[in-house]
This record gives sequence, C-alpha cells and structure tokens, in this order.
Amino acid sequence: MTARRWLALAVLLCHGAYAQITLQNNQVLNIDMPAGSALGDIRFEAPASTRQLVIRTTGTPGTDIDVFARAGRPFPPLTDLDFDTLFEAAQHWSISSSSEEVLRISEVSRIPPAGRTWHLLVANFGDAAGQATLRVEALDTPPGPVPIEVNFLDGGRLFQTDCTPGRWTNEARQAMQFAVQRLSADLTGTVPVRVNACWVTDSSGNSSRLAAAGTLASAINSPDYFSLPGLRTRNTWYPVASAIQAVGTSRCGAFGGACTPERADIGIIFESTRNWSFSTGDQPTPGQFDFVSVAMHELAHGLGFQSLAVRILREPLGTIEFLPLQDAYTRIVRYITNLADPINASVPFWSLSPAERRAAITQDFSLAFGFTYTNLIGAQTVPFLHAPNPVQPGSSFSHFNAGSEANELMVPTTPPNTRRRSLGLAGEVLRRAGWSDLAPRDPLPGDPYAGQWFDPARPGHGIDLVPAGAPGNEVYVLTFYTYDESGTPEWYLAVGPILEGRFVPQVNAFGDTLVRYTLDFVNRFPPQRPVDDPDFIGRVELQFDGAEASEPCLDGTQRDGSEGLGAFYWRINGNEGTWCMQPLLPRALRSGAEFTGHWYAGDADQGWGMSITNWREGNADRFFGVLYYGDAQGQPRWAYFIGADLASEQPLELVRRRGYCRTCPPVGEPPWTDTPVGVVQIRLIDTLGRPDGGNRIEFMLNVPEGPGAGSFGRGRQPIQLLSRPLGGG
Amino acid sequence: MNRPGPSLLVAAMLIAPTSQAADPAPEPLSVRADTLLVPSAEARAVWNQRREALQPADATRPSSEMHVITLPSGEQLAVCSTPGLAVDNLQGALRRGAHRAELPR
Repeated sequence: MTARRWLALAVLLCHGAYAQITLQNNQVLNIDMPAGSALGDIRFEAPASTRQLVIRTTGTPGTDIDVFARAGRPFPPLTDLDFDTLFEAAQHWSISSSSEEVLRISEVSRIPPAGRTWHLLVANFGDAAGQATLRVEALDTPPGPVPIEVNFLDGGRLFQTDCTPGRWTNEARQAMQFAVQRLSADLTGTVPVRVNACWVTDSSGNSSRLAAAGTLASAINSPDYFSLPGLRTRNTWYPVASAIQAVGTSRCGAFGGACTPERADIGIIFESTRNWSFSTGDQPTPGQFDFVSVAMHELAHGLGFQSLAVRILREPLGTIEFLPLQDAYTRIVRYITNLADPINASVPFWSLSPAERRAAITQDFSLAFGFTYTNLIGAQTVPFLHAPNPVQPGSSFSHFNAGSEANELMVPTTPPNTRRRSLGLAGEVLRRAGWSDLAPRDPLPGDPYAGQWFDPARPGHGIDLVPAGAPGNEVYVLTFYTYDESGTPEWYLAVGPILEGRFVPQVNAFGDTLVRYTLDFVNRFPPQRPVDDPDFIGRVELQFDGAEASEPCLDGTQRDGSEGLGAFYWRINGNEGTWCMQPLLPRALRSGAEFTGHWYAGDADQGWGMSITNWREGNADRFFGVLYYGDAQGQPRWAYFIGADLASEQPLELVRRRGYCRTCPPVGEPPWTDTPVGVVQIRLIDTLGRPDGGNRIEFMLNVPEGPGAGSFGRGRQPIQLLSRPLGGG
Repeated sequence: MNRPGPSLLVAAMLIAPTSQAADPAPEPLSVRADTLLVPSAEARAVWNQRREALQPADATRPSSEMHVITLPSGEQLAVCSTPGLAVDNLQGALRRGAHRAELPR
C-alpha cells in the first residue's frame, strides 16, 4: 500500500515540516508576501493571565492579507493544505478582502486564549505582492463594553424598504446614540457591532408599524454549513452580533468579502409618521412613543434576545415552526415540569418533541430561562417567557412574561408614555445566549473511535479509520472500501490529523484528498501511484464534532450514536454524498488482545495490506478483515474474510462482494452478492504489530472473469502494523 | 511606623501587577513567505467567487416588528411581534455544498 508516504507524513508531522517563528508579546513580524503566498507556523505563547488575544495583520495596498489561528497542535504543513482543508484546520480566521485583519480571541470563544500555544498562519490571497505585518498582543484585562456603531442611513434601502432621507435630525441621532450607549454599557464584547438604522415613511397610512429590527445574518458551527468553529456551541444558530464576539472578527472577517456598510450586523427601521419623543431625559412625554425605549427593545432582539429556530408565523395565523437546529437563545429556555418548583423542575425546551414544544409555547408559566434572579419581593425565581394561549403572532416566546416581569424592557407591550431604558434581565439572558462566559460551551471532542465505521443506511460500504504515529502527533489513515458504478469493490485512501473532531486530510499534488491508486506489481516499485488524471476528483471530509445533528444523521435511520457519529462527505469525480457513519462494533466488545488496525508487509512489499477488526462474543474471539490489493488491470480492489482465531492460521474463505454504487439505493436483502475467490491464513500473535513479532499472512485469490480478472497472493508473508497499536490484553 | 523589610519589598515587587503596555516592544522580525498556497491567479479568482457565495444573505425582512394598536379605551399600545428570521438567511447560501465548487487545477 502506500506505507512510505504515510510514514513520511507521520514523520513530518512529528518533527514539524517548516520553520517556526515564535513571537513575543507586541513583537512585530514583517513578512514579504508574494501574491498567493502564506506563512506558518508562527507561534505565540499566551500567558495564563491572558483575557484577550489581539492578532493584527496589515498589508500594503493591493494585497489581501488574511490570518488564521488555532491553539494546540500546529497547522498541518502548507504543502498538505488547500483552501478547504485550511478552513478545516483553523479555529479562527479573519478573511475579509481588505489588507487589514483583526482577530480578538477572548473568553467568549469556544477555546479561551489563556495559557495556550497559538499557531498563526498569514496568507496573501491578493494578486499583488506586498509587505505584511503581524502583531500579537496578550491583554490581561477582560473585554469592556461592546462597541456599537450606528450607520445613519440617509436614503438607500434596508429590509427591502426605501429609507427616507433627511429624517436623521440631530435629536434623533442623539437619541439613537443614547439607546446604543445604554445597551453597550450592559454588555461586554471585543468586536464592534454595526447597526444600520433608517427611517421609513408609510405613505399609504395603513401601516400600524412603529419600528422593526433584526439580525442581518446568522452563523453556526455545524457539519452541514460553512462552520465558524470559534462559536461556543455546535449546531446552534447565533445572530451575527454575538457570533462575531466568539469568532473574534467582524462579519466580513468571518465570512470573507468586502467590509461594505451594507454588511452590518443589525438593521433597524423607524416609522417616521409616528409621534416620537426623542428626549433622553427621565420624564415621559404623554402621548408620545419613547424613541430610546423602542430602539433599545428592537436592538435587543437583534443582539440575540430572540429565537431564530422558533418561528411563529402570521400566515397561517399562529403557525409555529421549528428549524432543525436550535439557536443560542432557545438553548437556554427550559420547560417547567412542576410550577411549584420552577428552579429545579425543568428540562431543556428543545428536548421536547415538536408537539410538546407547540403546547408549551401556548401555556403561560411553562417556559423560563435557565437561571435564577431575585424578584421585586426578594424571592429567588426564574424569568418566565411570554407564552399566552392562543399564540400571539410573533410576540410569543421571544419576550418576557408581562405579568411576572412587568417592568422589563423585553416584555411584548409598551404604552406610549412608558420609558424602559435598562436592559435589565434581558442582559442576563443575552449573556447566557452567547455574550459572556456564562453561555454554554461545548467541550472539545476527544479522539474518535479507531476502527471500522459504516452508515446503516448504506450497508456494505465502510471506512477504516486508525491512528498512526505518536499520541498527540498522530495522523489518521482512512480507507474507504466501497463499490464503483458497476458494483465492483474498490478502495480509496486519505491521510491526515484529526483536529478538534475534524479530519484534515492531506491534499496531494493533484489536488485530491481522497486518493485513488493504480497498482502495478510487475513493472515498478513501489507499485502504487496516485491517479494523476486531471479529470479525477477525490475529496473527503469527516467531522465528528456535532455530527449527531447534521442532516445525514437526522435522516430517520436508526443509528447507535453512543460512541459518536461521523458526518462523512465524499466526492469522487462527478458524484458526491454525505453519509452518517457509526462504529461497526461497540467498544465494549473489543476487550482482550487488540489487533484492530491497519496491517502491511513492510516497505519492501508495498501496495497491498489489510484492515483487521477483532472483538469478543462471550468467550469466543472473532475478527473481520478487509484485504486491499490490486487487480490485473491495476485497479484497487478488496475482499473480506471472517474468522474466530487470529493465531490459528486456519484457512478462511476470501470473499469478493459485489455491491451497489455509492449513489444507488441499496436494493435487496442483503443488497450484495458474495462470491468466494480464494483462501487466507492469518497468524496474529503480537498486538504491538512489530516487524519481528511473528505475525504473518498467506493468501491467494483468483477472480476468474471480468475486467481485472486474475490472481493475487502472498505466501507466509510477515506483516506488521502500519497503524498505532491500540493496546489491550 | 514600621518599614517593611527587604524580603517584603521583594515580595511586593514580585506580586505587583505589571503593565504590558509599559514593556518595551521586542525588536521586529522579518521573514519572507515563499510557500505558494495558491496555484494560480485563476484559482484565487475562483476562490474569491466562492467566498462571495458563502456570504449569508442579508435578511430580507426584520425579525421583530413593533406595531401600534389602539385599545377599546382609546389608549395606544406598542406591541412587539417577532415573526422570526427569514429562513433563507439560515439555510440558503450557507449550505455547505456552496463552498465545494471546483477549483481549477
């Protein structure tokens, strides 16, 4: 097989493939950057006292300098990365199309900056060469009030509505700035929030609208989407204003492109025909709507006091819909199971069935936020949500209960002569919905299950995923055993580290991460060569972090996710798919001596090998093997065998399975036909898989007809583990 | 008044907060980035197009609206309605397939 290449990669990763630069606090790194160049590994040791890490890059005009960051293991070597895998490897980035980027990693990020080695990668994606500077600053001060910048639109459009020019009078601007300052004072953050604000005029006189607002974009860390891994929780939607605090850069820095004024974070519009009071004083003005209160209320929705995943529609009236994935606000909502003890008797709202959720939304005092506070009479309680019956088009769920939290800014109704100018309890909600370290944070995933994985919806196909190299610096070898368009067995290979639950496959010289090999055991050594046909495309992604909520894992198929699931994307030429993989065997069955791994015959006999999985059934040993070889036409093929005694060298049937193509539905029970094509004898006695450990294999298989017909075999060949020994008895 | 002894002075110096801003900035480093990450200008152009395609679209409507209603008493009331974000914004351009367009080789 491709042992030399794999091992070379492992050595590279263990020893570092390119020079390191270690920056000190505030040290400037000047980088001469040709067009399309990159520099890594730049390291920075964040002191234990670090509360914010500020990474700044600046480039000369014409450059497009971007910066990527990750903590822990370094980035894979640049030679192994392409655009897609660079994003798989990075935890943070700032990739606007400008020549300046700022990343601010803080305690609100999924990985706090303190006490970690940060690895930085700077790239010039522009067409012009230039100079770039990089500077990293570790601050031991916590983030202060979040900057909120208002863009007063004098014309233009927002929410597909024309903005009325000339309405932003000085007093209106001052009132808006006053509202923004009140919000800012109650929230901490490092990345400026940008608000586009405009006046609209209802020329028909029919509209009852006073004001409207909303987040202009949303962000998520989930396998199905363009993920922002800096977000604290996976599979959770965040409004962009809070998302940028966690990912540490502006909206254009997070998603790329130009930082134009239109790409703000929150939009807010005010109806110019209403009777407004712009006073910033304390006394209410009878009969007038308090601009500051209305602006604060609507902006608070845009900052995150609103469910994105629960949608209450006006048409049909009162329809309640749920998105497949929840949001940061909904995540902290709990269903009270016993109103006599709302503090302790509750379950997460999202854990209910959709029918139960609908019922809860129309049952006042059934929903509350998952924290306590002291109410006006000095009692500890939970803040309840507005959940009237019947459902109020829109206002249900995304407001406080007006009865229990009557004086709060975020109750659904406001009389005109009322001033509510404090974020109050809504600040506590926002802090738990992503605006502070109080918000939920998903732990980083550990090492994935090593061994065979398969998708129960695609039986007969599978991947073998095993680590190679020293713990902490290992790469994983992924072998995809599958079938071509005609159902003939074939295999592909990918190699790379798993970083925070994401497989980051090495990109080969032909741009492929899922590599197909041709094999010629007669005329060349080593026999294997990656397919260099420019028309061949092989790509793979495999993500464990959050896979359970990815679309392929929510397809209704029964899967055992107790040991994790993996969202497995493959692309082979013009076809692609994303499958939800689960371990083939529960880890509990894999007790005793562990021979599970990838075996080969050493560097002198490359191009073939096998995956072994062994387990216990009662007192009996069992094992399953997949033999990878090349047929007479040099195509990568596989056959399997099953046995009970790894050390006995009992003759076992080698079976060639004709299956169904990757994009074909499985038809029949089972959806394959098996044909014996040879015999294999196995002797595995050394779990460490050492070259002189006495492990050996003898086999001969013969495919009598069809393309690639011929035989392949070895006689009593010593074999050794290519992958890392997995231990055991 | 007792003066602190030398050991206390040393301890006080050790635990005194240090201002990082007061630290002199280390000497700048200079280096050349000569590893080509991108094979061609064409590939970069395609990537930029892809990146643009990744932008979450601006919401086409507000996710919360405050309306004025008149009560039977004649009093006006502002009622906030939160119909939710346009679903397209959450599930449209961000779909993962959008960033898998092929790069030229």
